[in-house]
Amino acid sequence: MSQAGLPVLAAPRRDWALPVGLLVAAFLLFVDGNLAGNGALGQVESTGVALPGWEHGSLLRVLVVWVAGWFAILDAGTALLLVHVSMASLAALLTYRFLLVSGWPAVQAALALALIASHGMLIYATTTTSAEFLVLLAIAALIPAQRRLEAVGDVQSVINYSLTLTLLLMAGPPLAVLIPLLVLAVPIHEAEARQKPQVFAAMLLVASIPTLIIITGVLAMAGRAGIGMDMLAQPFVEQFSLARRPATLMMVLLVATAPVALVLIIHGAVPDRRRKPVTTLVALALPLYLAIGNSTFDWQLAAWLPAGAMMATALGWLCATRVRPWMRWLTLALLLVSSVASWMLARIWADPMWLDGLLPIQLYGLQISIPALG
Amino acid sequence: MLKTALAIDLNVDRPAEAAEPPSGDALQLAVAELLVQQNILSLVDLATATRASVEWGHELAHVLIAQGYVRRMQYYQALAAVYGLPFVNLREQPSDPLLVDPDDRTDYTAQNLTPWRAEGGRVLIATTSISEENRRWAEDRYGSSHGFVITSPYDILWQTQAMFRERDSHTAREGLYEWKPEHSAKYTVTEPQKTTIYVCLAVLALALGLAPIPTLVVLMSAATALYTLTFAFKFLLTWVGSSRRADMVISDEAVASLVDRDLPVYTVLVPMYREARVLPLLAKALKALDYPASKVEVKLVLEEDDDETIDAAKALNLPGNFEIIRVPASQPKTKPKACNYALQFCRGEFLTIYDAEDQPEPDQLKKAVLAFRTAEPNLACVQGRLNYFNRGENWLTKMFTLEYSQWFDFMLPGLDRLNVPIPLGGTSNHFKLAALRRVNGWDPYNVTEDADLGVRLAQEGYTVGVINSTTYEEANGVLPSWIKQRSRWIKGYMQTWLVHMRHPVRLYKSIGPVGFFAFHFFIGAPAFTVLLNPILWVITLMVFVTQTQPFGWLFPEPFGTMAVFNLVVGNLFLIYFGIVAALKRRYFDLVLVGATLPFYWVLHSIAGYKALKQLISNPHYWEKTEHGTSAMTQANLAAVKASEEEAA
Repeated sequence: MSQAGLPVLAAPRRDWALPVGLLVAAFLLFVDGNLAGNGALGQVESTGVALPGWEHGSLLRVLVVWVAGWFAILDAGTALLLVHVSMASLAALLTYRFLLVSGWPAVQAALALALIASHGMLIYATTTTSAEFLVLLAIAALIPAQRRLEAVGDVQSVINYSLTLTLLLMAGPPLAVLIPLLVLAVPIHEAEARQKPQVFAAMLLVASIPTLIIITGVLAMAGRAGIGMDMLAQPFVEQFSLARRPATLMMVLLVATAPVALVLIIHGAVPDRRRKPVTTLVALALPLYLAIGNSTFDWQLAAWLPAGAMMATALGWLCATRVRPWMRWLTLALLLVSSVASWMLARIWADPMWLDGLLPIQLYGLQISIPALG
Repeated sequence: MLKTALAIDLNVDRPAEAAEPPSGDALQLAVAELLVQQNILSLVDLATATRASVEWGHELAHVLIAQGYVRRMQYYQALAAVYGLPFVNLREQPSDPLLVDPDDRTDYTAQNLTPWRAEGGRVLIATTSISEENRRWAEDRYGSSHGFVITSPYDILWQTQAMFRERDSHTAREGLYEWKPEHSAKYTVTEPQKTTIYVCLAVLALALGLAPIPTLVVLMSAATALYTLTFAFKFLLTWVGSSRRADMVISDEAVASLVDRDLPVYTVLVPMYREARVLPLLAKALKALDYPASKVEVKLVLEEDDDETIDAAKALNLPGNFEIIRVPASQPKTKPKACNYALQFCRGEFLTIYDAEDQPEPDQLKKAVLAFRTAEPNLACVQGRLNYFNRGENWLTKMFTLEYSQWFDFMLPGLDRLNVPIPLGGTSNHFKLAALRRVNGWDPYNVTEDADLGVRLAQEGYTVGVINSTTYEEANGVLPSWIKQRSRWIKGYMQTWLVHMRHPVRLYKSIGPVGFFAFHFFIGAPAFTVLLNPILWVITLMVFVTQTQPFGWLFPEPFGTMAVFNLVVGNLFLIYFGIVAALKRRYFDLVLVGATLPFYWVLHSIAGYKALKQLISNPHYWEKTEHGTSAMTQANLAAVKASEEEAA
C-alpha cells in the first residue's frame, strides 16, 4: 500500500525544559560556590526576631525563610541560597516552556534564556538571596495573568489574576498597595459589569477574595504565633513614611540595563491583532512605579530593582505574547545589550564585595584568572 | 413467503385482500391512503409526515405515530388491512406461552415480534412488520410452517413484559451481581472488609487505651493531612476545570451540520415514581428536543403499583413514541433497578436518562451524538451538565445551584481533562446502549448508581466525557426533602467507595495512579469529611474558647500550622471556589450569598450522619426526592395547562 497519501505526523518535539532548568541551577550554584570560595557570600539577616523574614513586610520572604528552615543540616545562608536557586531555576524552566508556547523556536528560546541568565542584576538578585528577588518574581507572574485576563477572560483567567494579586500582597508593601487599583481590572474587563453596578460589585468581590483570604490567614497564623498587629503593620508604616531621594540613578539603570523594554514599545506601535495595550502598559509602568515610589517613600529598595523589574515584566510579557520572527531576533539583540550593559555598569549598582567575589574562580580549590568585568 | 402468510386462514374479519400487497414505501403509502380514506389521517398531516419521513430517513409509519397524527393501534390495524392479515390484540388474545423461547427474548424486543399461536400446523407470529429480517428469523426457527399476523408495538411490549416478567425482573435485580459480584453493592461490606474494619477498630481502641495522647495526635495529624490534600485536589480540579479548554465544546455550527437522516434512534428513559403532577412538563420538554421525533424512543419507567402516575401518563394522550414500562414490584425498589428493567426493552443506539422535572436544552441529543461520533471508540458515556431553573427561590436553592455549578462546570470537566473516572450525575448521562449493556447496566443496590457506573465504566476500559449542554432541574428547596436526598447521595458515595475498595490493587491497576487518587479524594474523602467536620468544629471551638492551651498538644508542628491553614485559608478558598463557580454561568446574583456556604456544609454533615446510620441499618433504601415543590414548577405547570386549554 502506498504511503504517499498519508498525512505525515510531526515527530514530537523533545522537551528541553528540565535540562534547561537544571543548567540554570548549575550555573547559579557555580556562581554561588565561587562567591563562597572568595568569601563574598552575603550574610543572612538575624533570625532572632519573632517572625524571621518580616523585616521588609514580605510574606514571601517569611515563607522562603520558613522553607529554608526545613534544611536543618545546612547553615541558614546556604539553605536560603538553595531555596532562591531552586526558585530561579523553576522560573527559568517555566520561562523556557512559555517561550515555546508563545511560538519561539527551541534554539532561540534557549538563547534567550542564556542571555537572561547572564544578566548581572538577575544573577545578583538570586545569589545575594535578596528580598528584591521575590518582588521580581511576583511582578513577572503578574504580566501573563494580566494578559490572559485581557485576551481570554475565562473564569480560569480571573482565578489566575486574583491569585497573582496575592503574590503582590505577599511580596511586600510597595506592591501590596497596588492591589486596590489592579483588582479593578477584573470588573472593568467584564462587559456586563461595566453596565450593571451589582455585577461590578460581584466581580470586584471575586477578584478581591483571594487577597482577603491571605490577609485573614496571616492574621490567624500571627495570632497563633502570638505576633501582634503592631509588628505586622510596622513595615507598612515605616516604608510609607516620606523620604525624598533622587530617582536619577534608578532611571538611568532602568534605561541602560533593560533596553529589552523597547520590544514592548515597538510591539505596541506596530499594528497587530494580538496587541494587548493594558498588559503592555502595566508591564512598562510597574518598574517606573517602583522607581518613583522608591524615591518618594522609604521603601529601601535597591537602586537596581526598577531595572530588574523591567527585565522581569518584559520576560513575563514575552512569555505570554506571540511576537513576529523579526521581533524575536530584535529581542535577542536587546537581551544581549541588556546583559552587557548590566555588567558594564555593575560598579554603579552592585555590592563591590559581591563583584570582587566573582573572580578569580575559586571553586573546589581551582584557581583560574579571568580579566575582571565592569 | 408473503403469499404463505396471506394464505393462512383465520376466523377473523378482514377486508378484501389484495393479490400482491405492496412493500417498502408503497406499503407505507398504501396504509396512509387507507387511513386517509377512513378519515383518520388528514391529507395535510400526511404531506407533512411524508416530507419529515424523507428528511429524517425514517419510515412513514414511525413519523405518523411519533407526530401523533395517528394512534398506534389505528396505524397497525390499517397495516393489517393492507396486508390482508388479521390484526390481533395481544392483551385480549395473548400468545401461547409454550411457543415462547426465553433465548429469543432479545429478538422479541429488537424486532417487534412474538410467536403467537400454532394453528393448522403452522406457527403464527405476531409482528408489526413483515420485513425480510423477520421472515428470515421465522424461517430459521419454524421453516416454512409459519405465518404472520399483525399487532402493534404496544401489544408486543405488553406481551413481552407479561411473558418475561419474572426473568426480566430478576435480571434487573441480579444481573450485575451474577456477572461481577465484587462490583455489586448487594452486600455493603465483604467478609475481608468486615475483618479489616474490626481489626482497625481494635487497634485504635488498644492504642487509645495504652497511649491516648500520641494516638489522638496521630489521628488529628492524619485528619489534617487529609483535609490539606482534599483542599489541594479541589483547588486543582477547580483551576483545571475553570479553563475554557476543559470544556468539550460542540459548536452550534457542528450541530447544524448534522443531517437528520443520519441520526440514530435514541432511547430516553424517564424513571418516575409518584410524580404524576410534573408529567406535563416532562412531555413538553421532551417534545421540544431538536431531534427527529420518530427517532426518539421515550420510555416512561413506572412502578406497576404507581397507578396515579400511570393513569396520568395515559391521560396525557402522549404521542406514539412514548411508551410506558411497568416495573414489577420487588426489592430493592430503586431507580437503577427500574432502569435496568427498562433497559431490556430499549432499541436505540444511544440512551439517556432524564428525571421527571428535567428540562434539557433542545440540542442535547444531537450534541451527544456528535460527541460519540468524534471521540475515541471507547467513549461509553457523555454527561450533560446539570443546573437549576429555580436558583433564586430561597437560600437552599441558591446554595444548591452554586454547588451544582461547581460540580458540573468545574469539577467534572476537570476530572475529564485529567483523564480520571467521572462519577456520573443522576440524569442527562448519555450512553452507547451496547456499552451500557456490556457492563450490565446500573447497580440496583447502589443508591448513587450513577457515580458507581462512572467508576465501573473506567474499570472496564471505557471513558466518560462532559458535553456543553445543560439540563435544568428543580433544585430541592425544602429542607427535610433536601436532607433526605443528600443523605442518599452520601450513602451512595460510601457504598461506591466500599464496593470498589474490595480490591484496591485491582482498582489501582485498572484506573491508574491519578484515577486512584481522584477516586479517593472525590468519592471517598467527601463522604468521610462530612462526618469528620462536626468533630473538628467542636475541637476548634474548644481551642478558641480555652485559648489554645488545653488542646494545643493535639496539633504538633507542622500539623498545627496545617490545621490553621486548613481552617482559615483552606475553608475560605473552598468558599471562593464555590463563588467563582457562579461566574461561568454568569450567576452574579449568587456571588455574595456564596459567603454563607459554611452553613450549607453544616447541612451536609447532618445528612452525612443520617447516611451513615442508614448505610448500617438500611443500605438499599431509596430516599425518594419529591419533585414539583418549586413555585416555578407550579407556574410552569399552570402555563402548560393554559396553553393546552388554549390549543384545545
